[in-house]
Amino acid sequence: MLIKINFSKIFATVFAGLVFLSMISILGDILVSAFEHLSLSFLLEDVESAGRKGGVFPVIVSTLLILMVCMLVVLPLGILTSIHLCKYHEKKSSLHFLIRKLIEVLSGVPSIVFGLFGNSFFSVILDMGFSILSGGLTLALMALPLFIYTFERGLSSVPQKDYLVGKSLGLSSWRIYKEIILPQATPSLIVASVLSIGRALAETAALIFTSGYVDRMPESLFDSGRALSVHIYDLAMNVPGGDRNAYNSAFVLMFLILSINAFFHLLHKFYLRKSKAVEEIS
Amino acid sequence: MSLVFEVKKLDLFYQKKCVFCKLDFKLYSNKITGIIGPSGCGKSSFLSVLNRLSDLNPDITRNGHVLFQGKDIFSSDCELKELRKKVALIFQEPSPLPLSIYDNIALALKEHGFSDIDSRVKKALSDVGLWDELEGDIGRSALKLSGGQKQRLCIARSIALEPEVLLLDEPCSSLDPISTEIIESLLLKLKERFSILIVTHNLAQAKRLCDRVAMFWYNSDWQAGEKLIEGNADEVFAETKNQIVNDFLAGVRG
Repeated sequence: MLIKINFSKIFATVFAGLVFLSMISILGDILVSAFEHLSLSFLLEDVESAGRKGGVFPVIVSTLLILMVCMLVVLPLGILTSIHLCKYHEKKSSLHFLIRKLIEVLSGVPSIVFGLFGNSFFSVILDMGFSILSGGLTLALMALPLFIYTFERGLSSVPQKDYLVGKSLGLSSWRIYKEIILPQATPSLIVASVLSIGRALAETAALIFTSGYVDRMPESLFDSGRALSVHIYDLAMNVPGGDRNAYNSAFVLMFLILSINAFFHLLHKFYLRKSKAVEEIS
Repeated sequence: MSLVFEVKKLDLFYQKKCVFCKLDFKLYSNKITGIIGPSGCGKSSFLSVLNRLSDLNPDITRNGHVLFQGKDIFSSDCELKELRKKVALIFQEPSPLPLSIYDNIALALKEHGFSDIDSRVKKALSDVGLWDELEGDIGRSALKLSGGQKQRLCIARSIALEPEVLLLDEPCSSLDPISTEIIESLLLKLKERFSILIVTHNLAQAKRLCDRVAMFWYNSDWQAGEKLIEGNADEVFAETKNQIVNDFLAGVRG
């Protein structure tokens, strides 16, 4: 028994160390390779010579626009679906069972399949072409299952009693959710958003077919735009001599993800402090 | 003494099992009516039918009629929001919402379109004796109150809406004797303004508070709850004919 515990401890430590090392080596590789060449102008200049020269400003703008479209769809749709699934949690009707299963299946579909679907549905059938809009919508489809899964967990942990009390006072469901349930589920809303944004920013395959890889500044949401992840892929695989700027772009993407995470982390902390204050002011 | 609730031949089913059968019941205005009886004979379920909170549980079905001020609450033209405003339910566990004391009361007032919310909040809190106790500090979280204070806040939250009926489901069962005494004297004061229906396990409490008493019992032939006896409190407590009632009141059964 004693030996067993020691073994498991050693295994756990070794594997945790491996995971840590691999993360450090990825981050380190990007940092070291990018650091000597990176300058502020890289962030602010246009792409030149297919990315070998110049900066990534239009790419950053496209990335943020795609992300914006994605989250504008994910947030309302995700929140409402989660509420629907959670409120009728106990009913176990076949419709809810079906929705739940579909979400599970969707979260396992490879992104290239989403890309093909987005291309044929948004780009061709709905005639959006290669555009930021169709890219963002495709990403929204990809991020929704993750968002719903995470947020519904959080909603379900809010005491059912609060809903009942609200109803017993004659409150409308809208008011109960707005004033009582959603404020309590805010931490899980933040977590769900962070995960969805992370998934959207990391995506390459689905975007190549939908938002395309035009690297100039997009003029509207119907314009094609190149996301950072696509830019990195293109530089590394298709552009001879693009390695250096691929690293630089990877650094920018990493920095973007980390700062978005940090922002939400602070938001979460701020929210916790605020809700604690409500509980503890005396 | 006017009739507020008239229940006619009410059956209640949980899934397919009968909770209670063929229940007749009358609630009169400005009286405290107590429901006593052992667990599992449907007392709490009965309360939740009276403001149709039981509708929220899809496993519950019902037959029969409940007339509130002469109108059937199950008919399609019954306004649920209005019914729940007029028939307030106070739960067994003190259940303030995770908001400030002020917002606990103000939220429902806003929903029902009351004006001068601040003064109504103050009045409701004064009615239950919380205003002086808290010295007007009503911005703090309701979750930080003591058990008895929470329960009084829940009562204040309900009476702020100017209901007709207060339904209380064992409101003191999780409270200490001092808090219980405060709530009891509060209820005696409130019966001048409201009709009160209280479920209690505590026979001594029923004797102290109630003008009328109904006793529920588990009928083992029906495998369901039933109402054994209903009447003025002194008559019920002096009952000698029914052996089950006698034994229960004497503490021999229960």
